[in-house]
Amino acid sequence: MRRIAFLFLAAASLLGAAEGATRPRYGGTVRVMLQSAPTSLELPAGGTPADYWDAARILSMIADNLVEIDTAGHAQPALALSWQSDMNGKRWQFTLRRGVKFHDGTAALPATITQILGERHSDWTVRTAGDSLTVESESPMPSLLAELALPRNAILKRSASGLPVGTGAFRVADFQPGKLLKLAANEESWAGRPFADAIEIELGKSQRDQAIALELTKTDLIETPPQAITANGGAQRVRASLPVELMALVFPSSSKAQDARVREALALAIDRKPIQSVLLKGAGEPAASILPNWMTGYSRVFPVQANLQRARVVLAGSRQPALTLSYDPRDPQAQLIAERIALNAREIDVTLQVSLSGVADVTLTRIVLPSSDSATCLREAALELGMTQPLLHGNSVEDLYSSERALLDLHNVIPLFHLPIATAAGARLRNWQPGRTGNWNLSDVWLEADSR
Amino acid sequence: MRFRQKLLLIFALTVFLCVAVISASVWNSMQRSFEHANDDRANSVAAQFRSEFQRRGDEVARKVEAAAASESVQRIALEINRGAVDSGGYVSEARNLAGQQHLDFLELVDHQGTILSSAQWQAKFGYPEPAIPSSIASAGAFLKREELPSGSTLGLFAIRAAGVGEQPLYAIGGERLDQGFLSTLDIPAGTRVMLYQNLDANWNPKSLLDLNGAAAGADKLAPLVEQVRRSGKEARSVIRWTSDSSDAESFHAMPLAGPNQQAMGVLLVGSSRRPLVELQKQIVSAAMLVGGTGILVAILVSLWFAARVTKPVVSLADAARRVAAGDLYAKVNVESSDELGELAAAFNRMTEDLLQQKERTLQAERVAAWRELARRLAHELKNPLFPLQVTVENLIRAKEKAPEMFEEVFREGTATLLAEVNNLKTIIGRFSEFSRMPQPQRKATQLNEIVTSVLRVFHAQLKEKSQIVVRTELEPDLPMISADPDLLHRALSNLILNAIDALPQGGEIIVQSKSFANRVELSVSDTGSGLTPEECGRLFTPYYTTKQHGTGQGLAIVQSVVSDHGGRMSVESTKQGGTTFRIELPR
Amino acid sequence: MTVASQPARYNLRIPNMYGRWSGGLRIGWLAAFFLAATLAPSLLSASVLGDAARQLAHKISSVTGPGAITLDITNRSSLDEKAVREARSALEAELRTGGVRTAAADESMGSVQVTLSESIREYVWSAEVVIGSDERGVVLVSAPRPQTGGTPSSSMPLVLRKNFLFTQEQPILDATVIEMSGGPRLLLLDAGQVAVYRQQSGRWEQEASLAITHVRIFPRDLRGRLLLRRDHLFDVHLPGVICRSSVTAPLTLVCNESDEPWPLSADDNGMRAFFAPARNFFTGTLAPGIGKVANAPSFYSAAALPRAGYTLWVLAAVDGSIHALDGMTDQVIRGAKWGSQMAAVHSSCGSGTQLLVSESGTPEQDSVRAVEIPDRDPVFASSPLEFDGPVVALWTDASGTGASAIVKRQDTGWYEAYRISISCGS
Repeated sequence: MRRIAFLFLAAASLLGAAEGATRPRYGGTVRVMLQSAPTSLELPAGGTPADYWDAARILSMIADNLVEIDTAGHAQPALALSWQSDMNGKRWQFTLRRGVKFHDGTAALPATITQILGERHSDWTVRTAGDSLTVESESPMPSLLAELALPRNAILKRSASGLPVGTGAFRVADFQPGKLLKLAANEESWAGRPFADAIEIELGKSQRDQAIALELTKTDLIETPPQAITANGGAQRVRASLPVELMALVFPSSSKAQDARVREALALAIDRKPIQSVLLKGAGEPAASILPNWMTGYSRVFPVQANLQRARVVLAGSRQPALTLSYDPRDPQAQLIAERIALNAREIDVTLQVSLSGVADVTLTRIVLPSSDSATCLREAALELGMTQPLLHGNSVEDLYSSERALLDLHNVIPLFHLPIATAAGARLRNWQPGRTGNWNLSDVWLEADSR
Repeated sequence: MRFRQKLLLIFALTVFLCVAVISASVWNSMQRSFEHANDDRANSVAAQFRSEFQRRGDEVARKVEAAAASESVQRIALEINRGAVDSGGYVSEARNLAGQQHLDFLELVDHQGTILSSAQWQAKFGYPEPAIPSSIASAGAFLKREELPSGSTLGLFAIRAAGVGEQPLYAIGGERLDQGFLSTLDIPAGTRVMLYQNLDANWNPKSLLDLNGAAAGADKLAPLVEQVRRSGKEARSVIRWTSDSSDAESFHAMPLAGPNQQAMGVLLVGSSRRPLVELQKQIVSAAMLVGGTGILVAILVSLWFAARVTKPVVSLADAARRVAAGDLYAKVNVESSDELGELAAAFNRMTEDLLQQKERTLQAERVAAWRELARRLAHELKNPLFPLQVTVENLIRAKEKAPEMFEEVFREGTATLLAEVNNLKTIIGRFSEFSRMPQPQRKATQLNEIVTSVLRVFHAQLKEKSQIVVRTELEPDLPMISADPDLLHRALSNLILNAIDALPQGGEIIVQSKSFANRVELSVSDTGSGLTPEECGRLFTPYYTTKQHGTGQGLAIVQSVVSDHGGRMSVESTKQGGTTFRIELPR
Repeated sequence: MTVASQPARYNLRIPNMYGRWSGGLRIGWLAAFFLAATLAPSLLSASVLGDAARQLAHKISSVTGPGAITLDITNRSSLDEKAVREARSALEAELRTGGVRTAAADESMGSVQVTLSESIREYVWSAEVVIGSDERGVVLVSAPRPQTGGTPSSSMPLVLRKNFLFTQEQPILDATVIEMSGGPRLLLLDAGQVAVYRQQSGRWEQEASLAITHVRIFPRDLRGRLLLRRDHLFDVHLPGVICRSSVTAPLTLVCNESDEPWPLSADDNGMRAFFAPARNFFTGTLAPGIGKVANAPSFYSAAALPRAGYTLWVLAAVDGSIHALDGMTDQVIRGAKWGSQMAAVHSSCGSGTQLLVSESGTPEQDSVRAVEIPDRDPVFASSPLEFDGPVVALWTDASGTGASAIVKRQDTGWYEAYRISISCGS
């Protein structure tokens, strides 16, 4: 495997030697392929992580948020240039960027943004005051900036045909639901016109089709499994994010594993490392915490090593019903991972039957960690995993740890892996620098001239 | 039972026994043949299975060898020997190789027995594969239990080592031993094959497979399979699936041994017993038909034969019965010259002698009767004729000798003549009356009442003769009979009268009535002087009498009445012991 | 109200959010980190790790109470061995202060497993305390983690030499060093300002910031040039905007919307070219033109190579091709697969003027190389000068003997300014 990686690097360096570092070139159409096939340009409800990422990426090209959250969890200006809050975090004031226009030519006035945000959050009081905008709530909102940076809070309107109209670098030129999305450069983008004239996104393409299309230079940008980083031997540039997804076992309330000892023992029986190194082909990190280490720094406090001896001690005297383990059939690795987990469970005499039929007692699921702000991420993950909302008493790492520990001590969720997501770009695409938290920035990419 | 019936029965039994013995013999012979054929078929299938097993084993071994020699396995072996183990890259290798080699199972196992890649259970990498002796690595195929995500199964495996470096890499590959394997066997008609995968400690019906998967009604085979599992030896059993015996099957169970000689599976060859049962039914049907026909023929033959054999006897018996009935003209026509012929001739001679003797007796009796009749007539007629003769002679003499007296004499003479003539008419009238006895007018009659009525008539007469005592012993519930009460009254009156006559010195008259199953009996006994046997024999002859003033018609009339009622009359008498007349009348 | 760890440009401090968990001590760390990140990362450990160790020791001792424990430290962070040793020493010392001493397992009342970990923005040290067989506790402390992008590179002993000037997170468009009274000044051009730095004690410290005002939206790939002038200090050329500095102190900057052509050389009276205001390239329209050629293909950069009797202009065209214009012909130099950045530098070596061109070593790294074109075919005149990211700007400096190169570091995304000079080498 290392040899393959070396060969890949060698091939890439030879190719790189043939290139020159050129300035961004304007023009051309960036061709993108995505797995999901949305029929509307909205954030999906109940979709796969891939659906979420695709929708979020598309929306991020079309619309802007008030702020953005960088990898370190710090807010960065976007439509809002600056902000401040009162001491208890109940009232926030944002100074908005001037001269920003929606794709339909209307100005992105504070009143418009106020209306958009106010409609989405009934528990907020959003007001306009000159160039600024205030958000108030009866309860403290320490994570408001992270909340505003989530894709669901993108500032966008809807056209008469229901298409999103934002302030982003690209506007919707054509949308064929489930098939094709064409975006055109927004000449009046406040961050400068994007280099590419257009982005053509083919929807509903399998990863295999995407890989072939990239190999044949029929497309410029595809989604790829993070495993491709090590396995890829072609000329594509594969970039992986930080781990921004969580794979976990979730026990629904209807699970037959009502005895917490069974759940805890199962968590202790799972040997994550072989799954990560073999089935995930080295991608991702074994995890026993909800939040990844890059976000919190403490995830190693949650041991990921299997401890069969302790599992048997925990299991002693408990009732051990045969459990059904289901997985998402859309996830290519899920079945094998589920079978491996079932194999691990057999070692402590817990029967896990991997099946897609019937009522599942345990579900192998994969969720998105949608924010690099740890508190927001924990809340969103808990919501997605069907857990109770975490009680955060402060913003310190210890507070975060206590909240997460309290959630995990219920043993209703067994975190397994933190997984990155990856993209592969063709050689034609330049300045391709996907965000480390999974976001794309297609407005800064440009296409190499064909005449070279 | 008649002789003919006995003969017929003997014949029928003989035929039946013959048919039964032959049928049983054929049955047993056929069953032995069938069982033998079953065994042959089972052995044939088993041999075929072993042959197929061997062939498939060789094929598996070849495939595993090819897999072990493949470039990818050699590469992995090389990498392992170099210490560059990254099993993440191997996880799909076994499945790819298995696909290429058309193997159901394939695992790549390192020298420590750790699975690097598993085709059948991809998630099993890193887990230990139960240690397999290295000697097997070059041997042929063997049976092995294989764990799968869905449970255990049985497979035919072979192991080959990839010969690169010091640390061998083993390829353990195999094919399923299941219904798919069974379907490759060429199974004779009426036979089916099942395979029990001995995967669990206890009997598991789901492990019994036929061509369609899990065999139905597996539990019925559990004892047989258990027997083979425990003993490790072949066993046989007949399984009755339903109450219909034609649904039964003969099963021949053979153990399939694993590398350590433990029974990894049990092969069951089942032969339908339907042909046997149908054959048995045919034999039974044929036996019934043959037996029935034989018995029928036997009956006919025996009838003919018995008829032939018993005909002289029957003729003899018939003739004897006729003779007994008084037909002394009965003859037996037997032409044979055997003992029966001689018997028949003797019988014919006997009847001829009897006939001649009877004719002689009858002639003597007729002569005697005629003599008696003549005597009686002479006696009866002689008495009035003498006064007639005297009177006529007195008239003549008076006419001639005393004409004056003639008138007187004439009157007296004619009166006497008329009286005697009347007397003659009376005598003649009695004789003619006997010949004109009326036919009985039957009606329901209580015999006791007639007795009472008759005794009442004789009451006054008997009272005068106080020496005579009448005693009645009448059955109270004597049933009614169909009879003419007037004729019976007259008959009983005659008997009472006879009894009174028999007791001139007085005595006792006993009248009894009794009922029997089919008759009623009335007897009249006296304590008189009785009769000699000769008198008894002639007692019922008409006009025979032992009395001085009787006409001898009384008992003849009684017998006539009884005879007309279909009854019988008898007399018992001993000298000085009294006489009893007994009348039996049908009910 | 500005977040201390961020360049003070946009976002204000969020008092309730950061103030609570930072505290005075942490502000001290942040200040220390800022200095360490920009100037002396090797000095990082002492105070930061010491404080973290003190806090962690305090928390551990509050769980264990006085007594003997076994201490095991696992490093899962980017700290080097030396820092870990320092951390261990500091932790043990602080524990002793709290009455907790480390001992062998058979003499201890419990064990403490310390993991030195880190998130993307801070160090997180955790200690799992086990007392007896059942009692377990986890305590955590965090400390800010330095951004490693600011580490300057030292010059390398090559024919091409680079001198690191400055680094910052915001894109640098051009940088130049001038000698002024009171010492050298670094003029740094970015999208919003011209920052003037003065060197003091080996460090550049900001002296002034001259804001660039503009109405027109700048293009996404913003380019700008800062040119020293004789009659005033400098001009700034940005797409659609020209700014002129004041002549005398105090230094001011006046910006105007303008479509005037940009000078292609440091020479005030040299060739000029029109820049597409909404794009990142020159339109190809030249003033006054190269000989008879007034319109060249659109290009990103141009360099003049003096020839006897004429000047050979080499253009890095937008389509990736390299054009050579001698006033008569426009020829594409075949086989030249250079980047779009080029600059002409005069030297005492070779033909006297070399072309500095950018090229790529790996996708993450660019290099700059000297090229001579003795005839029509280019010849490499130096080994590649490697950078840790793409060269996003390469301009001939005011002296004409060097070039300023702006590099975007691939690992941190920060921008670095270098001056490249040519020495004749060995």
